[in-house]
Amino acid sequence: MRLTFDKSDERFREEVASWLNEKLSGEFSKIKYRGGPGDENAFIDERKSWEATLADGGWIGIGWPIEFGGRGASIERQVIFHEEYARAGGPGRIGHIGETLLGPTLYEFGTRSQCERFLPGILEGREFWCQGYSEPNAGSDLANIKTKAVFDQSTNRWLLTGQKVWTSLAQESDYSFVVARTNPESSLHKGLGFFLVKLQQPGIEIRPIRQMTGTAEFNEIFFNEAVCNAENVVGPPEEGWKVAMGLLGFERGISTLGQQMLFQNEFDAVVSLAKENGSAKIPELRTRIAEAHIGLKIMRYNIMRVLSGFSDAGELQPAALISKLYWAKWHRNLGKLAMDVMGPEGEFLIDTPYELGRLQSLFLFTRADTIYGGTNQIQRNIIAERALKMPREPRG
Amino acid sequence: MDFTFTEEQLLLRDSTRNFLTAEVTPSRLRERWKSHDVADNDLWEKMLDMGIISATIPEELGGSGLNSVDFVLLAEECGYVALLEPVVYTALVVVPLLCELEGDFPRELLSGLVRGDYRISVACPFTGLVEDADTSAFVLKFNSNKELVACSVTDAELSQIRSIDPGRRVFSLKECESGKVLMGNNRFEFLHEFLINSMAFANAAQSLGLTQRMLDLAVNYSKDRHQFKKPIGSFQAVKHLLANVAIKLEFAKPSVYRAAHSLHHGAPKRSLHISHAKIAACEAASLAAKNSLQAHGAMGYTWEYDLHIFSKRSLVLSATGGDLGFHKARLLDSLFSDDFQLGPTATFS
Repeated sequence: MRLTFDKSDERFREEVASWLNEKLSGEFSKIKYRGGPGDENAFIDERKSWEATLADGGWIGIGWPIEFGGRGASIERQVIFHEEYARAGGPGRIGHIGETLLGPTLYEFGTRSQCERFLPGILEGREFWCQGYSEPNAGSDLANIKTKAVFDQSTNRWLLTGQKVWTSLAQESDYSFVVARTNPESSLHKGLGFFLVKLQQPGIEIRPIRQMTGTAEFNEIFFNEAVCNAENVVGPPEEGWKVAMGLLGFERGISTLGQQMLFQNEFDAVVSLAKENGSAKIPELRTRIAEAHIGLKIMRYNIMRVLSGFSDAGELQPAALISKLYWAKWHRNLGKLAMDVMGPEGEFLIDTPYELGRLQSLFLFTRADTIYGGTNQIQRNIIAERALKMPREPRG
Repeated sequence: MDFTFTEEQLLLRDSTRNFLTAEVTPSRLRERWKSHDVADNDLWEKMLDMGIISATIPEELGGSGLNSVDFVLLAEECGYVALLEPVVYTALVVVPLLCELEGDFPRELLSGLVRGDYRISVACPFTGLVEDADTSAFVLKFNSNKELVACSVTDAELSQIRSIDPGRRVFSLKECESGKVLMGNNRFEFLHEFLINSMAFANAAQSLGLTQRMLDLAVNYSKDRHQFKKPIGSFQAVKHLLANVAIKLEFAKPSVYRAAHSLHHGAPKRSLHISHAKIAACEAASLAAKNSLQAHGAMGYTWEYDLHIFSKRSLVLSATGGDLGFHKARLLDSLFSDDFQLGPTATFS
């Protein structure tokens, strides 16, 4: 066990900090701290050019292996990067789905030519991705996917028909990775393919879903014989489930580092407001702020522990299985705490028609945290069944 | 010792429920969000005709003379439909406050309310904000001399504040210092606490109704929605989520009814009972907001689905009329006071 950074890491920290401070002081200063949860729709164009700027600085995919265009940075350095990014108020990343989920999935499960085609777009901050998993009847029961993919031999293409839902930022993305049923006779996890689909095409319609925040980060995607070339299927067409689950493994690993730094920023905002408006003197709130601090530290220690022993992406340790449930509950509680710290002023909107303040957004948006990416209830089943090896819940 | 309501009280609740659930539908509330700057006069008139607005006004002034125990069930029903009109504040805050005052003018104001000549609203003692100030003729508030005054709204400068609860119409008042003095500052302490208690009680009662509504929505959804080829309500994880809400709600009810009884009888410990009721009812509503949304999955998180109408209202009721921190502190002050009675004989004290 070693819990400090060495000298070369500290030099790396200085390099990151000075680069970020310089870049965020000019044209990008207005997007500092913007684009976080509940604020994803803010400054889309500016945040897309920010991605390209990050790419120019070589800061996208720093943890990727060198052979795939990354920097092969150690866990320590990835931690440092995320810490400094949060400290500098770096804007919410539009490219994070591509960088942290699809990229690693492609170099793990994809072909050489798929990597050559799609990784540069991610690394250069040019092409943005969204996740096409959930459907109206495939939420917690994710394997109940009905979107179908039919192979057209004459053109060597797959034609996708069906519907995805709750797709974050689909309206701002260039591509979606889509799980669809290639074998109509199949059910559950079998007979599914993992498709890389271009969104700008006639067979696709994207409709935003307005959320109770008043914003529309989620979308429905309708596929009507949408086209996907045969070479853009990752893994065998009937074994996409493995790829889809491998991707979720990345979701619970390194990508949570950046998220935790964001949590730290939000927690700091709550603490400073509590000091400013006197809530910090109320015993009820003092206690809950202390509990939030403890929870945040636990999450950070735990992810460092997981990442230190992170050997293979396929099999997650119990310490990794608990992370989604823990952070979702912690974050939702922080949102409620923020409202209680605001007191009666917590109800006042910033502007018409329905512009929420940062902490109000935090409160309303974190209500979704315990649902998307596997509900708390599904997470507990996973912990019980996979970590504790308890009998599976009777289903279907 | 009897916690039950009379047949009459229950009948009145049922007829109010029938009226409100038919009239105050989610789609009507959404219409109101669009026309944010106007009140629903038609609904107010109907409720005036039904006698709900004047329910707590003494009979000799033309009201029905209901007390807080009679009205608590009606306030729950108003919460159940997330009624936007300030009916509960009128009946449980404005009217009792005016009834506390002596002299002709307060009686005149009460008579005017019965006749439907005008509406009267009240400034929150914590924030100074006034609900539906623009449709009121008078606002009751404390001036800087701690006198209770009735300000004429036409003399005031109103500015509307947008709330996280999209239908709520709340205003700040400027240039509204003067007004007819209703009570000198020698009774400030009493009336200030009276006002806080009335508002907290009104919010607690409505929170019970909101909790029930959110629970009903989630229970119904969990019967319809299928995953793994079964209704999601058949899974223990979902059942337990909602059972926990039912437990909170049923345990909150008697504390609110106890508070209603204390208010009605002017019990010495009414402030303690009201703080208890406010905490219990708002915590139930907060849990309902959290767990009902969870049971709905992403659907409950959309603007189109009705759940957020009720969860946002419950949020506002929790933050106003004294928030959790205020009421917990007040409860603790009372609990730690030297003359606080403990022991078996003090069960209902």
